[in-house]
Amino acid sequence: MVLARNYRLGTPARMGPGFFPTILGGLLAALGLSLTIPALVRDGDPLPGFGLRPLLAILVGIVVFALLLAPLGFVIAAAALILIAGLAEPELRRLEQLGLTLFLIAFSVAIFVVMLGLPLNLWPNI
Amino acid sequence: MDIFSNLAIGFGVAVTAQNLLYCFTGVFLGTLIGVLPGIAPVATVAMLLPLTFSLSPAASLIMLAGIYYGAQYGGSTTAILVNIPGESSAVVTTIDGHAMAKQGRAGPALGIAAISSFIAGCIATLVVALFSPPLAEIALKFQPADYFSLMVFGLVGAVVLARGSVRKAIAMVVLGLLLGLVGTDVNSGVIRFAFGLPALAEGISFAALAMGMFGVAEVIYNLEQHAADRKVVAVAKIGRVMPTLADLRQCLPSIARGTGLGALLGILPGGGALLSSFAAYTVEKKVASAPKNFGNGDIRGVAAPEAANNAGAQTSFIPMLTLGVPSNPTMALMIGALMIQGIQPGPQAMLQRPDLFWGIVASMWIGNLFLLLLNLPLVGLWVRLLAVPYRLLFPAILMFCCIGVYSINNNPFDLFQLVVFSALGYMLLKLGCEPAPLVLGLVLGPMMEEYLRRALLISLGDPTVLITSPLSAAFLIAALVLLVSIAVPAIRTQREVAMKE
Repeated sequence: MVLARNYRLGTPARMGPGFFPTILGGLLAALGLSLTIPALVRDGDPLPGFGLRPLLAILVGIVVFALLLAPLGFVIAAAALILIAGLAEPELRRLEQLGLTLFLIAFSVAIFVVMLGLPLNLWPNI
Repeated sequence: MDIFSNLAIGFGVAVTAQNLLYCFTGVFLGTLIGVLPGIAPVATVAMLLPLTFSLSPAASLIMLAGIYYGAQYGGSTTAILVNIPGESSAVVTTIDGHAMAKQGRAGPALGIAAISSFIAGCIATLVVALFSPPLAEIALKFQPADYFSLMVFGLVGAVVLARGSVRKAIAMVVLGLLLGLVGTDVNSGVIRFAFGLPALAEGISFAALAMGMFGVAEVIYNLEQHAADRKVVAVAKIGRVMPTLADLRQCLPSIARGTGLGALLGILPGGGALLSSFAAYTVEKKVASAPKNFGNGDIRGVAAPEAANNAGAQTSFIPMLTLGVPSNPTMALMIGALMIQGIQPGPQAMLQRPDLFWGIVASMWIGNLFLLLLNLPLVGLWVRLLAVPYRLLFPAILMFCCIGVYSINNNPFDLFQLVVFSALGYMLLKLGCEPAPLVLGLVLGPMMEEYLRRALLISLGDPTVLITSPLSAAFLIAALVLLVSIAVPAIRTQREVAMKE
């Protein structure tokens, strides 16, 4: 079964007063513990392999998007997102990806900014 | 007020040009999502949440609801034609549906799926209209203790009915409850579990979590799978769509049974479309005459589960609308959507905002009509969508997720939450833990805490109030029974495994 359950125990120290939250939090943590220990003791199947390439490409893509959005605006950030996330796909087709990027940016700008009026910065703030 | 005048109000709300448009958009998108494998309706609802901010509460719910039951329709199309369930609730439809397609009867299979869904949708809408008001009346009398126990019952139900390990599901609920407590405590104003990050003071971004778990994590998971098997999709010939009269006559009892079962199971916590379709297929196999045809393209094997999943999808609105307790993650998202609009779903909202409730009920019926019109003549169009390769699809999903998460608060920090929950969701997928119970826990966490606190406040700190109040006790007992009933077979199978070794 599953061995890697440890993160669930990472309940940070409860802050401040609040009598009931403490009780509830403690209860939940205890429950979590009682579930984890048997899982650790039992023998289990080995963990399935993790495909690192898609995981990294996509998560990094989102992080870059988040970092670039405020200073450089939506258009550049979105292009970065799509291009980086595209690395998750081994069979990269440059031209197709470029077209997709342009299309998606135009499409999202049309729907979200023009039609719905979301306050997104499109271009770098100078 | 009787039901007819209420329904009249509802149709008055639903049949405005604007709401009709949103209803249509909803079912259209839902069908689209249902047809495309790899995008779950939950993720779609999450992605489209920001679209609804500028709409009225009724319009946004109408659209989101349309996506949900529209996806049930769309999922069957791919199930029948290419043997890939576009949506998890269409898994059983592949069995007989695809067998029919192989025999050259894809058209009637699609036709009966649409027709039985439509019939089931109409009946389920009536069920929602009939049963919700009395339920809301009862719910108004609930004490905080009763509410707390009801939520315990709901969560246990979600655990029991989740696929896979019960223990994992419980752990997911607990984790969800804990995550729900992040942020400012309503009563004392103390900020909990925020790690000193001011942005976490308002709690975890629900949309970021839902999109991370159901959207981005799925994308990563799918990309990995895709590299492994990239098969060319062979589409069966469709032919005549209308089933023959004999087919229809044969199917009617199956549709009726499927609808009844689906409507019933949809109300249960953790139920909804998926469970309904499985249960309906199993029952049909036992009840129907000449059961050996099942699995070899029996048209009843398409009609019953399709009716059931549509009925279940609609009646799962009942607990959400009347009690404010979601029965599945999609409903949890709708509660989220309503809360963003400043409406706390529950009996109060239902009685104070009849336009909202009855508008949705009426829109369900209209939506079903739209679906019938969309699906029967346009099947060919939907099928062509299957040819869109995933490598073009996934960047679009990612981008909509990012825009959606960001635009809720216009805060880049939410995007980092998205990254964290995507990674977490991916891990959980890998570990065979279902994210659905977690999401329910997240939504119910703060509510449960609040009700428990109030219950104990009223009882002056006496915890026995949970057992002495009859309603509360009943819910707790029901929860216990559910747990035990699932535990017993689990023990049995574990023993069997142990014996073999």
